[in-house]
Amino acid sequence: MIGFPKKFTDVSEYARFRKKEIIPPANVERFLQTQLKRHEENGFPHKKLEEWRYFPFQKIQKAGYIFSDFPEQKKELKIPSVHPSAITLKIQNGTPILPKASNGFSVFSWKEVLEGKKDLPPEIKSFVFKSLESQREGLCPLNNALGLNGLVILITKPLKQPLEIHYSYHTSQDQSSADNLRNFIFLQEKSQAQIIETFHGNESPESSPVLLNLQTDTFIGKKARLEFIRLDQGKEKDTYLNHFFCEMSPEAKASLFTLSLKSGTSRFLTHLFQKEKSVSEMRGLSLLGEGKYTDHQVTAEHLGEEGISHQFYQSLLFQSARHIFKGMTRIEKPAQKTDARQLNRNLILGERAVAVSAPELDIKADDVKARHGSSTSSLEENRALLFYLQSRGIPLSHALNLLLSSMIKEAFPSLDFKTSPILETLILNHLQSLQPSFLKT
Amino acid sequence: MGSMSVCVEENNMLNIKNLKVSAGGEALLKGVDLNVKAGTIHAIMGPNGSGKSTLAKVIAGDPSYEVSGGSVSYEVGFKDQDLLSMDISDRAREGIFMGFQYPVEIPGLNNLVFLQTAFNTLCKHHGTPPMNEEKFKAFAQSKAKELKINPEFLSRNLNEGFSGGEKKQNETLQLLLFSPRLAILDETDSGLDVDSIQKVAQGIRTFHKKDNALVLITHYNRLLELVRPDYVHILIDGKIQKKGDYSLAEKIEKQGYDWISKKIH
Repeated sequence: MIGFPKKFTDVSEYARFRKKEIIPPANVERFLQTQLKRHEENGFPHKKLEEWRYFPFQKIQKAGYIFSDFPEQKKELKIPSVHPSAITLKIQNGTPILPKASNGFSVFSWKEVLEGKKDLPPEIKSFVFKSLESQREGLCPLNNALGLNGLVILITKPLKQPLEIHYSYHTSQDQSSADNLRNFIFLQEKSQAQIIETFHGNESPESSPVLLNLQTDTFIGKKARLEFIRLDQGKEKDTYLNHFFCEMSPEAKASLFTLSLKSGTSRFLTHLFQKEKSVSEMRGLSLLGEGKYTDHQVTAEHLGEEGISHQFYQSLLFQSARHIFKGMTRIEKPAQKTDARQLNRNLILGERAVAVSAPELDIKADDVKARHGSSTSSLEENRALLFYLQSRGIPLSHALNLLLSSMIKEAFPSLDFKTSPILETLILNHLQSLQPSFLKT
Repeated sequence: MGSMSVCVEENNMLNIKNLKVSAGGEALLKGVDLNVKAGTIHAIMGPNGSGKSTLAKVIAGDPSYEVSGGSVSYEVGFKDQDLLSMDISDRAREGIFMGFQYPVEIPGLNNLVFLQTAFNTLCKHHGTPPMNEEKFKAFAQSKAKELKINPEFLSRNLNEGFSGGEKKQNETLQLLLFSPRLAILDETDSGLDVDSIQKVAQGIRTFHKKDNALVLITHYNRLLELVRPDYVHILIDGKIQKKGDYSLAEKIEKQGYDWISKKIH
């Protein structure tokens, strides 16, 4: 049975070490032990599980990751921001460096909360511990049990600046290392925020790969609005596993945008629970080169009536890139008059590139609008578009650039903060860096 | 200068000889002959499947077709060039424009960005200064105004969500913006209401000058009533079977193509 390597799956020693390092209050310890037990019962994911079927376990086995502690990086390293006026939160080698308290939001270190050094406000406290009780699959229970670092973010007002969270590792240790980070985001009623989350991978040159197993639970209060951008800027050797769960109150709005660019292996699990009149937009753009693998597992679960969800995932696959999209729109019986859309589009640009697409609907209500679709095409199949552009005098290489850029722009959501032009430039530079010969002008 | 322009008028801009074209092993054009001089308007009419659109696309360089015989020469700088050996974008830069029957939609590509890119590519080729965004926007808006087209659709994505009429108007706008030497409009009038046909006809009349030429491919006489062609060609079964002046189009309108088909068989 192909799965995670033996060294990785033996977490007992690491769990003992963690227990020694942090002794949480008894009630918290009970949650963590329950999750560890759940993980032990479920076991590690493997290829026979449908949602892990295409995951490159062999690559993970070759890297030979183990869960370990990273040396503490006290010096705050400079990391380029996506947005010039953003408030930056850094997690270096698993340790958070937090900004000073600011108007409209508070940030707590999850470790300090676990140690009982910081007490959370009551509204967020109950949400956090409810999340810790969740019955999830895959690597989530393990993350709950061992993810002793991370952030708890409480947003109380509409924020005037975006928040940027950067995950970076600076370690030259020989052993390939894995880390668990646990985040919680809580938006109070009528508050607003844009959060940009960037994974940088292991920044040390010629160092061993890093695997980040990240889990975020988010609560969006009534009439509150969250724009959440996940940006993968990891290194080719790194693995980025991102789990995002979001509870949406009535009339809440969520706009999620996932950009998969650089990590060798990445997996994004996104699950939204939507109450009445909540509106969600989930967009993804994967721009993958040689040997890259990205896996999107996306669920919009409608629990209340008159909700709206829109999933749109686009991939441009060069060389031997592989892209998996598994989308699910689930509409429960009370969620009448739901309006749901789901679309996955893949453009195959490499001879060995592969796209797997499974858009699914599970509808229990009888008065809803739900559409889903998927298309995978090659450049040959887009010849009519290229011919049109060329017939206006635009040379082939330029026409291809225009076509690919248009696909990139199409995937962008409309965002409150002017983040799009910066991200667009970053992506177009990445497109050029892939340097397919036919794009050279 | 005067004698040179006389030379252009006397010679053919486009010279098609015995053109044979196939696609997927099926013969579509079976020996087409057509000469187009500067300053003239030609109409090509014919029943469905007769090869009209194929002819337009082959002139524009659509790689879906295979040319199995004949020749097409196109005058560039007072010299005849082998059009079939020219790249698609080279043909456009040398002044060949095809108005598409079904213009494509490109959702993430802003219409104005596309038009400016194409326009500046032509400028570069002809050694004229390119226009910046602001200047080009004003230029495009003025042309849209001439055609009574809502300038708002310049800011939309290329043909995305456009009605059939708007797509054809966008093609006509390009005709005015790019000022080609030879324009081939493939059923630009099909599916249009009376007002939209008027806009297309207005665009064609504004565009047409002594130094350019037009080939209008159409099923109907409606557009030809507004833009009187100098020559009418009837294409049936991959060959031009009859030529005449505008009165031929009127006869087709009244009697259809049967009387020509009967003569062939």
